[in-house]
Amino acid sequence: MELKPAEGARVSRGTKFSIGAQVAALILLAFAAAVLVTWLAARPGLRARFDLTTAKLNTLDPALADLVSKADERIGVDFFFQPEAPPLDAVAGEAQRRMRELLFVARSQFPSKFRFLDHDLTDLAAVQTRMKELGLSEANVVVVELDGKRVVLRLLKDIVRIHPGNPAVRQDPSIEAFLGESALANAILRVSVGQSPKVWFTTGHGERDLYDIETSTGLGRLHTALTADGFVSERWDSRALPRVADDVRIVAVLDARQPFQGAELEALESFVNSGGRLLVAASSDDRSLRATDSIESLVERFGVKVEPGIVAQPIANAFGELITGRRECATIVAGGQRLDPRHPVTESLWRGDKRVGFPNTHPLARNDSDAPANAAIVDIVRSPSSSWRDLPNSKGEYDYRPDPAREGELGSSVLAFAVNFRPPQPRSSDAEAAERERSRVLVLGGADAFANGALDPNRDFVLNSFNWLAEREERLRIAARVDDRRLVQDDSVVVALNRAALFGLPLACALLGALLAWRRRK
Amino acid sequence: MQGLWTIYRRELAGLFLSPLAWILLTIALFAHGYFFIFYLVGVTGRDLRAAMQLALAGDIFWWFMLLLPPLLTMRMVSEEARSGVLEFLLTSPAGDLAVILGKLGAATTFMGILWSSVLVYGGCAHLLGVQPDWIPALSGVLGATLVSGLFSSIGLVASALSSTPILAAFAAVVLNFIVIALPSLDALLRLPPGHWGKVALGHASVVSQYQSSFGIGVLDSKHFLFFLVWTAFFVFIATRLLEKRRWS
Repeated sequence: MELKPAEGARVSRGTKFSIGAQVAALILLAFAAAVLVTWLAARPGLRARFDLTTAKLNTLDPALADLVSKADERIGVDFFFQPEAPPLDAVAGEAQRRMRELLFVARSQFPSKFRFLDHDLTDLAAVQTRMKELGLSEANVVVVELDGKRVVLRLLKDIVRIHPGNPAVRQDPSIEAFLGESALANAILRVSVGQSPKVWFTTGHGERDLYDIETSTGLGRLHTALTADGFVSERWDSRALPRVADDVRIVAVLDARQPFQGAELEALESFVNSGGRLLVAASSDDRSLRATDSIESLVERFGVKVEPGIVAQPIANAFGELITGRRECATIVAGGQRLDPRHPVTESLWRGDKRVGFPNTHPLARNDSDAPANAAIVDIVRSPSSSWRDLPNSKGEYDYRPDPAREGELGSSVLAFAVNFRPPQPRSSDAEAAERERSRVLVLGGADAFANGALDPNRDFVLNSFNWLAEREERLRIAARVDDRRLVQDDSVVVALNRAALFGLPLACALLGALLAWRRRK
Repeated sequence: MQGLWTIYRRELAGLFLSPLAWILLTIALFAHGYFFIFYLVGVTGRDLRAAMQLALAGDIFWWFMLLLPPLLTMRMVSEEARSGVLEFLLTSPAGDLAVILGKLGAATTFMGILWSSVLVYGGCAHLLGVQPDWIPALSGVLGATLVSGLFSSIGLVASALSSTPILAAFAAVVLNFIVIALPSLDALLRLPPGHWGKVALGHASVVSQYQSSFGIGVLDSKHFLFFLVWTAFFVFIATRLLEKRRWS
């Protein structure tokens, strides 16, 4: 629009004011139009985005992108990063940088799907309040939250796989693989799929206390870890209410030292046979194993027999000599080949070369004669071949020494079995859905692996166990994210670039300018 | 758009025939080169891809944006108005819009030449055996040139407002500062998450729009349009201000 007066016309003050007002209105309209176009350009249907990097560094893996796009609500991501102490400081810094980059990409690709809060640890009071709200006790974590459910990802455990390095040759720890995308995807999967699985812990038979955080044998820390992982865990007095509620996904029986009533065992068997999930950690009291109505008698019906005695192995003393006869011999540390590399409970541990501690654990054996038809019974954890089954004496005491005559030869024992079978009485009346239903039972030789004293090193095993039972083991296979670095290794290239950038180009420019000035003057 | 090409050529020739442009370009190339090497060796651990990215999106980039476009555009309208050249332009067959677009094109081209220096560094590295990620680098130069267009258009508005080049440059620096620092209001006001003001400031953030697209090797229609639309808005204002001179 052009505002031109007629030739020779005189412009009055009023006309000038009027034209000024029109121009101001036009500018306002133009502003509104610019805002409108900017807003429209941000609409998902009208927006196109192309990642031009060769390694697609700015695009989420399709599996993760699909998950995010399906989320109905904004996914909350709180991250609490702080420097780690040496020698993990460099690794932690790198992991934090790459996780921030990943979250930046996620926000850039799906601006309306995420709510990020990068907690500044300089404002300690505010951070502590938020950490308390989220039930966190440590920093360097990422908390993924959706619809009231949350999952905590630990930076150096869930987000990166670390090579420990070798202090002897001054090799620092390093990042073997950045698994942030996979961890984020699985966290979103956990918070977005279905309701929080409910876990009932039986009480009234001498079991460990679910809320005991004081003693090393309590289960208080397990309760906290399960809550942080999106489970709802409650006590169940099966004597008072011998029926498992419909919304319960898992029943856990940890260290039941007294026998169950017939109705209780029937309720548990019926629960499993209709597609329920059962976790049993055998009683540490050898005498209770022999009772006909013990929980161990129930798991025999699912194909697993809890044997008397505990599994022990020699331990190294301060001089590196292997010794026996110590209480510590009863703690089996299983890792590597002792873990099943294919089963969802142990696969990630095996892959990450992690170890799991099993203190005071009974050996387990298959009981195929009583196992349900079509049951898949997998021994997922075994003790080393140097271990033996230590039997108690007449007073019920262990000597932690191998006695081949009484206890048999040294050899590997099974410490945990995972049983999976089609339920004889499926819940679903739909034939197709019933076909897909599965009952799952996980049996461990002892409950100490779940107790407060062992939870930190065993956390992954413990959570994997509950996730497998709850059928939340669907780990999205997302390849480790590539860090596409174009490194200039050669010093001579750096020197050449230095010369080109600092002298070559500016000098060429100055010379060209001088030449032009000289020619113009001439 | 009669006369646009003529005015563009005239402005470009005017820029490159004046010693100011060459002095600016030499200093800017030196500073840009220095920071490229600093990013390469001191920040990214010799990662060429990241250093090229930072040279086109790091802190120094925004300092250039704050200062260079005002110095380039300060004389484009105000000096010409003072010397009377603008009278000839306004009475020529070229329209006001063509005048502004021609000047904007010249200033943006100058800035584009500066940003293209990153491609020269990449070319040197390529010749020496380190392969840069070319496509994101090219999109970075394109984005940097687009952002330069936005800041140059702001400079033209300032130049059209004032008849003194230094004043115009000062006003443009202040306006550019406001545009760059506007989202910092969010931190100052401590707006809670989800507050409409926070959301609006987020949408108005030139820095974050640039850094989440061209700055990281992404071509996003939202951000591309953002820079085009707001450049057009300031071109519109500059054109109206130029037009106002007919009446005053």
